[in-house]
Amino acid sequence: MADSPKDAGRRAFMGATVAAGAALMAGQARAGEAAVPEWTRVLGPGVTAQPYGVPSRHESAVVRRMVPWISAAPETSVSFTPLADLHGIITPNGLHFERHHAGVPDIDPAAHKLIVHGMVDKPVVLAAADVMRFPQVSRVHFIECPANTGLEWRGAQMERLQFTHGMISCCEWTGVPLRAVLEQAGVKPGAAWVLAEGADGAAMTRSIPLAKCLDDALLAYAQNGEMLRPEQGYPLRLVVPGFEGNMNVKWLRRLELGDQPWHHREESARYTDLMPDGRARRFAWQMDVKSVITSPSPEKPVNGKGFVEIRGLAWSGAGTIARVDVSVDGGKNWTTAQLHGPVLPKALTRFTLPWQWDGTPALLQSRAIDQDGAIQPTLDQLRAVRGVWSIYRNNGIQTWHLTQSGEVENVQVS
Amino acid sequence: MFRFRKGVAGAARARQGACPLDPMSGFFPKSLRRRQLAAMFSALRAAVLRGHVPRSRRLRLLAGAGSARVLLTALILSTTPAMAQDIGRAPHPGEVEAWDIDVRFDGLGLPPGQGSALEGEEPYIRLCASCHGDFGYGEGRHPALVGGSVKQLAEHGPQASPPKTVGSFWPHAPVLFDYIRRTMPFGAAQTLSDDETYALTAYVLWMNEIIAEDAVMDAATLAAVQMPNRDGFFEDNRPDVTATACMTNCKDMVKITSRVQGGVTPE
Repeated sequence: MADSPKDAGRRAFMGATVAAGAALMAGQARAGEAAVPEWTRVLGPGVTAQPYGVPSRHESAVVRRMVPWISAAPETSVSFTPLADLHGIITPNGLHFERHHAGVPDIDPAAHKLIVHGMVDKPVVLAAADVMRFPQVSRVHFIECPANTGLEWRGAQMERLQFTHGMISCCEWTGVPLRAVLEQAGVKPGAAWVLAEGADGAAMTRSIPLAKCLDDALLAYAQNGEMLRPEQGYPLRLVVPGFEGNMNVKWLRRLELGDQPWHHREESARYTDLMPDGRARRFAWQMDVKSVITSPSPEKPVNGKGFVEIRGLAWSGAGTIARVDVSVDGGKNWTTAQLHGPVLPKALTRFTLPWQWDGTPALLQSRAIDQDGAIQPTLDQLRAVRGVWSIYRNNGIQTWHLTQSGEVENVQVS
Repeated sequence: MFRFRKGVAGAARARQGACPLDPMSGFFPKSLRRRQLAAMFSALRAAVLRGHVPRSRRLRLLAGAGSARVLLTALILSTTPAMAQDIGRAPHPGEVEAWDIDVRFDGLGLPPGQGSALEGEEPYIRLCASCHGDFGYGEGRHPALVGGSVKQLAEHGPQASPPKTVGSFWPHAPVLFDYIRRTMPFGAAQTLSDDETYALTAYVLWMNEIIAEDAVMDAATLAAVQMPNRDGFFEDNRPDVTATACMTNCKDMVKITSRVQGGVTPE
């Protein structure tokens, strides 16, 4: 069992404090400090000792985690990306959040096929290898489960960033524009929807508007330079940039074109937003503008007052992030943070703000604005309209309470 | 990318497969034969007809048909998506039908067959009750199929989640058949017969008091079932929440209104 990141963070934090104090008292190098380290005096393993490399064993706490009580079984659950321990905008393949409805199928790519049929001139069967013959593109996009931050609607509930915001990841996806495949099949007049179906035991289906499929949807077979991981849809998945994660159908085996949406279970009984009047919003596909501070955060306490670089991530399903503001007083006053390139559409975008912490408690927040001018709202603004039972699409401003000790807690503020 | 010299290469020279004056002449192996050239020309013409070549160039290309520039363009086009038109294969007879088993909200795709709740009880107890419960209320965190009401969807407090079940929430009965048919039983998907699927669909509808226990569900009757929450959905209405980007003195005071209670975050 991996260490809790909170424990690890706390240990590092306490250790550094103790060490600094001891060195100060001694006024000289402590025993062992001048010694040649063990790893300098011996040979390490040779090449291919790890034919497929793995992270340092000292990073063993940086793993996906699940919340056992939110679903019936691990096969129908979600795992969360450890955002606090990641850098840049790319999520390593082994840490991309997972959401499965019937576990991860073990698909032999040689036996996998994709059928494109329905309202097309020429139905086509594509082997996984056939898909790779189409002209190839690579694009960086986030995928976010619309239930991300859904555990926080009624109040602060989860103790760490991994569980408040970890249902988002961002990869470079490589594949074929779906448009190329649909054009080969020949879209018939009157077709307006595409039903995408997975080959897993849940045979996951979603109705996707044809216009989106012809715009920027990808038939992806690779992520971050290698073939898709099984848990990300190997050997073939849809990437529907900026749209809710559930529509990015994994283990894709069928695309059917039709004139109406199917209104299947995953787009009616699930992934719809219940409002206070008892009615539910459907087909709210595009993910809203959102951001979160990843450091300081519960997993990244602050080691003493002085310079702190506030770091975070912002994203929007509409396109690029235009601006991110940061507050250290719970939203009374805001300072515009610096965005770090590449600032890509429908991708995670890094922001930072240098800050001198005076050691007094602070309430850290970030607020993103996207290319369309959409502004990330407060939780209270969301709840005033949507109540607390819509589950999905909570893009509210997150507040971290930096306490005097340097530890950080998840809170909500007025 | 490529610039063509004016006035080079007549049709006769092109047919011989050599364009000595053209900067790209190395592209043309001397062994090119009429048949191959004709194939390239035909590919170009197809691309032009499909509209993948800009109108202005189409005229020029058509005017200079048979010239070296046409052959060059044909080679260039043969590497563009315009030529990626016959990847994969046509489905074999029955191949699409075997996989195309989904059912649309309005019943499109419902197969022949039938079943009633009376017939569904036995397979329900055998295949479904261990997760969904004998009476459909759900075991553990498995989804409840029964409970709540459309009325309750609106009348609920902040503490208790309104039950969203087949009876209280699902808007379309044929989609229940679709879901059972393609995904259930959990861990043994697509092992039920169509009659069993009709019977199980009927059983779940009967548990929700939507149909009678002896009502026979088939392609016609299932599509005609009126679900209680059929009018409970509306289309995306965002932006529904207004936010501002105030920069200074945005509020007088800030209070912490909610803290983590603890005990629910895993290690």
